Amino acid sequence: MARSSRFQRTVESDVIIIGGGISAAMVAEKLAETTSAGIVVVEAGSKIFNLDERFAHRRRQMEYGENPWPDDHVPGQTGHGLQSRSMAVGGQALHWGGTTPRFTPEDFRVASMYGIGDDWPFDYDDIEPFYQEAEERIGVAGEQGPDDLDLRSRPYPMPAIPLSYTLDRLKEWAERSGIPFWANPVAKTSVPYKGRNVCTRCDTCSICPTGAKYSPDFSFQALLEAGRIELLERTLVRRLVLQEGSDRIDHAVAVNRDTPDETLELRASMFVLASGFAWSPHLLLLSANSRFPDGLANRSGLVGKYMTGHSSVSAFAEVPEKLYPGMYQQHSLLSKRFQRPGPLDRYVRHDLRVWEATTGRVPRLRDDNGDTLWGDAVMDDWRRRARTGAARLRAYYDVLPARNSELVLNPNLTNDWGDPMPRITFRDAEASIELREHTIETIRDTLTHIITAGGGSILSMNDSNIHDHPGGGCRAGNDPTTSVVDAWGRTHDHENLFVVGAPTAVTGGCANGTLTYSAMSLRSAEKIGNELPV
Amino acid sequence: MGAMTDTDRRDFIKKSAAAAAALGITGTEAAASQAPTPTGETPPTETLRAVAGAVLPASDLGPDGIDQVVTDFEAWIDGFEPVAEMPHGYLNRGLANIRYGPPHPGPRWAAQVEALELEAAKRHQSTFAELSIEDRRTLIQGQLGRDELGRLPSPGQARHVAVGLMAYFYAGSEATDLCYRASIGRFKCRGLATLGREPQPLPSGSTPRRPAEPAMQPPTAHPGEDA
Repeated sequence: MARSSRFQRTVESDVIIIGGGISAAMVAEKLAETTSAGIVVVEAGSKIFNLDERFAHRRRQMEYGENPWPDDHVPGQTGHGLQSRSMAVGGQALHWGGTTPRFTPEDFRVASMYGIGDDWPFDYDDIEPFYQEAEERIGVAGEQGPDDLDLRSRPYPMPAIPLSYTLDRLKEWAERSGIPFWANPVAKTSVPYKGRNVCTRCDTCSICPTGAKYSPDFSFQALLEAGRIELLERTLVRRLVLQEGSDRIDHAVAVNRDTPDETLELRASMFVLASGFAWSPHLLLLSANSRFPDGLANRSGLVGKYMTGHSSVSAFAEVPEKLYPGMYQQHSLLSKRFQRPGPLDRYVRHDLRVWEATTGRVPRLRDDNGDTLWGDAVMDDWRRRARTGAARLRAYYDVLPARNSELVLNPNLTNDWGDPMPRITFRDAEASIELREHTIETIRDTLTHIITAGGGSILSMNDSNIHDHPGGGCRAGNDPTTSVVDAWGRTHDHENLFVVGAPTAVTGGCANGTLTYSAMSLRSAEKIGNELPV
Repeated sequence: MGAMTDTDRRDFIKKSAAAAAALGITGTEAAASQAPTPTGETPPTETLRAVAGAVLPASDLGPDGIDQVVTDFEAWIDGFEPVAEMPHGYLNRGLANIRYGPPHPGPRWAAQVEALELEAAKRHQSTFAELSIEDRRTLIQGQLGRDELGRLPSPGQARHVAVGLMAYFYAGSEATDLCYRASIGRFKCRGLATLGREPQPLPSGSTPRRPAEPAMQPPTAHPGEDA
């Protein structure tokens, strides 16, 4: 339902950050530390600063399967192809798993190294210091992998979360393949860190009841307590408006959901769009005007294009020894062996992860003969099947996005203010389509090798072309005709508008993207800070 | 008889629906059709204990352990919030909608338990609790649809109270410990100190008394993937 606007209120600041997720948190933290600028953070969702209530919410989730973050969404603010409806101060990283691998140098240089896709406008050496900075701000616990596979200039901020007994057994099992594995780095505390509790292994990382896992609400709380930011929660930005006769952004038009009849005008000298892969290009498209009829920052026609992510092949395996599932199911093993494959005849790059699993080792009410199980027979049957263990293996593989892998405005779906909502359709580039069968076969062979080398057997294997850890829509590049933002996230078309984090990704790489998007946001913040009062 | 108030009408509709739901899945329609209207959302304790004695692993739990599971299960039923907001799925395809959970299973389950008592009386001239374990299982199986005898659902999704009770028990940390006869403590906040060590065997002859943690369902916020 469209609402008529009758009143107007103006908020002025040096910089306005649109979005309240992890990228926004990184930018806000860094600008607060390195500049004296006034900073306003605008988030459409609500502020959920409830660490003291999280055990109770966890309990409800564990007992009843309820959302442990109730009402963490904005009614009507939805679309097709979103990864999550979560929209709150803290963003999707309120309930992320906390997995924080770095990309490898190859991710940024696929065109140069493999003659496929596009290079990013910066390379690993450029972003490495910001990886370290992101790991220190977030608080990452990790284990140094083999030096040639796990490139770092400095140690992890915290030692790795120890492997569980089960995961340690799985490491020994998986490494019989000759492939090295090590502890997956995570944004969880193995030692006291920046006032956060040490992880107590509740194993419900989607709601960490102790605050051992980083979530961006911690950053915003600290910045608010220090008086370094103003936070406008429940405030939906609907348009960016240009200065008269200029390509600079003049103000943002927003609405507070609690005072929906009041138009809010947000004025600043610098605007940072940190609204994630969906809502960032969406706002640019919504902000079309007579000079930019296809949307702001869109002279290239690429806003909302090249939406990216990675696909996966998974396997479940029987492991020929007794394991104890439930020791720490969120923890996992990582190998970057196939992210750094060296020269290739045909391009295949992927990560590798191994978890404990319960596949085929859960209680059931009917046995293999179809006979009903009751009472002691259920436990006996379960115990018999639990004599051997199980593992889950998964490889995310690199997928190159097509130009028309896109987010468009859907006139048939509007929010309460009449704005069209996004429709996202992921499409792979021709090169990736041609490579898909080869990629899947290659990974299946690798997974089979790991399983059989360890004396295990395959319980199931399947591939998924879901584009996980999505990004893109405002891809970065040096050429304004083939990209939306430059190497620092500044839009080619508007000198005082930056887009940060996931939307600027050129590809989804082949590992979880949050740390990379955080590092990119910090790199952008360095450039933004240079233009703000010290 | 006076006119029904709105509250009366809602109560009547709820109970009628619950009774109809019970009828819809019973294999002994004649008996169940005469089942009295359930009086509340929690099944009667004594009959529920008799159901538990027939479907839970008595050798591992013992009588006290079974009673404790029933007590905890009743508390779980009392705490159930119908049509609660469920976690947002990651990796949505299509329109990203908010998901809500099932209606309260209590009325349906209460009707089923009442039907078990009624059928025990008609077939065996006995209370359900006085039947042998095998006879109890036969009556329970008569109420179950074949599709309910396979993989255990989450407790709130169970159509039948016996399946709900088993799902509740087997989702708990204690069931895993009993299966492995080891102190794994799945989903308990256990700290990192013992993480690398093989879990200690359960003390000989130990049976759970009061669970330190509730029955637990694996988090479903990002099934199959990680964020």
